[in-house]
Amino acid sequence: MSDDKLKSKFRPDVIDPVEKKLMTQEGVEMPVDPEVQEFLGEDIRVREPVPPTQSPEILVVKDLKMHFPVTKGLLKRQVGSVKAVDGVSFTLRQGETLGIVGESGSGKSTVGNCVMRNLTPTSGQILFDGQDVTHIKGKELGEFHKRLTMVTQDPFASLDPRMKVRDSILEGVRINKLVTDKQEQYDLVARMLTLVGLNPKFSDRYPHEFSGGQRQRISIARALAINPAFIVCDEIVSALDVSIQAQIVGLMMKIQEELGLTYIFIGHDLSVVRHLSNQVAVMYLGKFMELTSSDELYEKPLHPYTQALISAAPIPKPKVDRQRERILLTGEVPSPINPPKGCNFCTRCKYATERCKTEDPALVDVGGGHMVACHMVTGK
Amino acid sequence: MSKEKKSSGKPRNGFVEFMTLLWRTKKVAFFGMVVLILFILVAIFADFIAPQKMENGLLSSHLMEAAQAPSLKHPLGTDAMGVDLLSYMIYGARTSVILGVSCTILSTLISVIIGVASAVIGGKFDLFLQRFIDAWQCIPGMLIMLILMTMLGAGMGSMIVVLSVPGGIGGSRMIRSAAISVKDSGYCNMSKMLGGKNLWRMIHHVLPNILPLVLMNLANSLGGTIMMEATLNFLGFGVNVGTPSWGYILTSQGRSKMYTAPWIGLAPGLAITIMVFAAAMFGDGVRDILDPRLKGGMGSFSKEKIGKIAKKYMASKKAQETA
Amino acid sequence: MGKYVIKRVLLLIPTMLLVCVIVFALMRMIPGSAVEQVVYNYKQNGMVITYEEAEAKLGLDKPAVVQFFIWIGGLLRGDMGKCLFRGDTVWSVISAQMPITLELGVMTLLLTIIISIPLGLICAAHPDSPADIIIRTLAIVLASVPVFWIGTMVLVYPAVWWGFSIPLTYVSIFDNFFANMRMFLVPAIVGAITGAGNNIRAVRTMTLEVMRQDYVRTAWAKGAKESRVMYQHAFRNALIPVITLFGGAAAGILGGNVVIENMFNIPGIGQQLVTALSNRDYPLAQGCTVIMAIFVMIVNLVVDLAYKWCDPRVNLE
Repeated sequence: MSDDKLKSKFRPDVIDPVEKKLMTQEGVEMPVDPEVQEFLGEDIRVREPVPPTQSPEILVVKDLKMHFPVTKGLLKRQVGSVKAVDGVSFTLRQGETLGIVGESGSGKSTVGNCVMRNLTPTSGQILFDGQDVTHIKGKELGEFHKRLTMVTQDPFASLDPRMKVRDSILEGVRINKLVTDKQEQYDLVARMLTLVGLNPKFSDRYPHEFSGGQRQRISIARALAINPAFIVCDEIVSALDVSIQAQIVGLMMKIQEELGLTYIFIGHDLSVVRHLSNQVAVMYLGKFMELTSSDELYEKPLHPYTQALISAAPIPKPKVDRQRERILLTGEVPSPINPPKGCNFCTRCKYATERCKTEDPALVDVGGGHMVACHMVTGK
Repeated sequence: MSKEKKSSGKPRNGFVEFMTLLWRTKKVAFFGMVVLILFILVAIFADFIAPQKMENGLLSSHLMEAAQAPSLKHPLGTDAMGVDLLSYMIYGARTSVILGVSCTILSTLISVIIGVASAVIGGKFDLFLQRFIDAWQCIPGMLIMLILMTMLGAGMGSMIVVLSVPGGIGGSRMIRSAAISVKDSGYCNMSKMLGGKNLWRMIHHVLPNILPLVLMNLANSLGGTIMMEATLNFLGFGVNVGTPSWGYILTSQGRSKMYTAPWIGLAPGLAITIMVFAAAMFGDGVRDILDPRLKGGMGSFSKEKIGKIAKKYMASKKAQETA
Repeated sequence: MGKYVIKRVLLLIPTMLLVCVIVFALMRMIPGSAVEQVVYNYKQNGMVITYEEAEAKLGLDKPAVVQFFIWIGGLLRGDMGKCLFRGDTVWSVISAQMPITLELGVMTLLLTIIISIPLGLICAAHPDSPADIIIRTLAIVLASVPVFWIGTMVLVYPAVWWGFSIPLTYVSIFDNFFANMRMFLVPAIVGAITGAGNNIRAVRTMTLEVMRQDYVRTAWAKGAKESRVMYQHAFRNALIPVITLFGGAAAGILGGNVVIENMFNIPGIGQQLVTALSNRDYPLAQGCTVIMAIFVMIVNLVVDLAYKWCDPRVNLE
């Protein structure tokens, strides 16, 4: 069977776990096409949450804040700051995936960039493998970037149009002089291309000869070539077709299992993030609203914002989609320069009380590692 | 169709491919290139072609034959000093070609170095450099050239500097903006993340990606250089007296003998015109191929084109109705 | 808008200062001291002056930085110093020649616009038609001919054939319009014709760029008349880049005036500068250059403002 035919068969509704659950609730059995399964090369199931304390902590982020100054006038007087990330903490264990979801402008990519240390956080601490990397620069940062790398959103911008695929993949290797022998470099490229599901023969081609999905695979191969322990995936599937998205997500999971990588997976598509992550954090205006294991989040969303988000995500089954209740958010996202005094979400929350408007709720564990920042849930 | 598309989408590294494209799509530009190559050949083999040979770097004068009209012996006539004008023109081509080629390369080099460094280093360096260039460009280029020429004195070397430095500084603007867009691109950021230093990114990403612009710059500044050389000669600045130069003979003799011996002015004037014209045509062609966005003529919506599309549409609709 | 204008004008000051620094530095790098020239001149007139005395007289004995601040201080008070070899102050020389250069510049610019915009639009309206090809070829040929060659022909042949010659003494346009025109029209036409070559092509390219936009296609497709498509959609939008083009051309025309002024013997700033440079008359050369730079700066500012005024998309922040 040709790739194209497979792709057409490979509809997202076949694998979408949300759909699966809804269908089983309705008593409909979920058809899993064996060919699709084979194509993905892995089991199409929502991943089992890894029990805590199983593997060592690789990344600890404490109270991360990233404020960008807003200046005005000729003298660049600072008149305020954009609070892109305003107090975010999380811990990530080796081999785990943290998903970060949120609307555009919620600061999720900024978290990724801070962890990557493309940005130096205003305050807070980032510990990578026990080492404080919050303020490292120069050589240390270079060493850090050998272990932690990034795949970015736009597959058309992330590859140099005048560089052959091989040179793109080898760039990190050559900069850091990881492999110097030419033949070994070529072998590495072939291995990486095979790993991401591309023909090793492609290494002599230029990026414009590839589709978006293929380019994203090359980007992944480039990230993997330096043999990192940690990858920040910044909306890596947002620019792709839905069918390709599933392929890339499947690929990322396969690679994670093979190489034992740790991911931060940033996205705005709830179902994609859920599919891949052990933990999911919901971000709104620079703060985590809810942070818990992915299944828990989708089955028992506690924060009003999470509930609204989940209800807004389309379910690829029109009948179900039309029948279910929708929580519509009204109003605009407040400006991050001047966020609300209390809970960031209080301006759009239908449960908001006087307390929400004055007191900022902390992210509190409500049991079983389910963290929520909402006065209505944590009570008292 | 699909084959053609493929070849046009590829980054053109091949020189041969570029030339075939030039020949196929831009006949006039190709012709301009041929003329330029002819001039270069004349310059290289001047010693073999010229009827009157240069001795000790000078063309000796024969005052007996001064200011003769074109004849069989002197196809272009002789100048006021009795030098065979054809030989003078041939040796003058050498001066023009040396100046043209070296100034074009030097000015492009200056543009690229300033522009790329400014873009890649950025920050305060960029800010200060750009303010400096702002100020520099407020002073009319001709004045700067005159001042520089006075500073450096006559001669080939100073001529090269004077003709390339102001143009190079001015041209750095365009290179800088292109380099900035490359620098801010995803792949350059990624390279930085992978540990690529400024120099690495400059060599591996920025330079290859602004190459088309650099080539365009090269092709376009050739004509300007030759014209400017002639103009500076007119204002009394130039290569050393004795070095044959079209601009010099046009100014010194062509003008004063405009009525009595018009052929002295005609030959260098025409030569400058032809060379600048050829360079302009070639530059236009190169630009059209390397930067399709600037292309004139093709791709605009004329009434005729819309009419054709509309006719086709109507025909297909009719065919559908009848079917 | 008012705030924006003020901001732009304030921004001119640092640029101005940099221009002064550049001009001053360039002048000081010119070899061949003016002092020797002064000593020589005195000797010619039968006077004796020592090298040191001359140096002190010119203010050249102080360090360059001090000289620079003295000069800048003078500039701020409107005093540009004295010419080294003429009794006049620099300002009096420049103020006498400024109107001449300006008149020539403005006339050349106007003629360039009158020639190149209609021709460029004709080319753009009928791309690749015989008219387009002829005009374009002619434009490139015109841009390729050395100005002073054409200029000399214009000077020589009419004089020989019809006894027409351009007057050598300047008459103000307010005193005698015809005498003034007799002096300026021919140089302006020569300057405009040679300068028009590049501008015709630029106008054409810019207009074609606009004609490629979707709104022009829509205009054609909805059946608008040709004149309407051209005037209402294409030309109006092409006007914006064209204004910028002629703003840049204005600066070039001022610089190019050096050639025209020299050729037609028009006593303008450009010609003055060439003489001052060859005499090593620093104050005069510096003054001429700075005045020209200020003029270019003002033109650039006006063009920028016109651009913002024309283009509703540009916000004034």
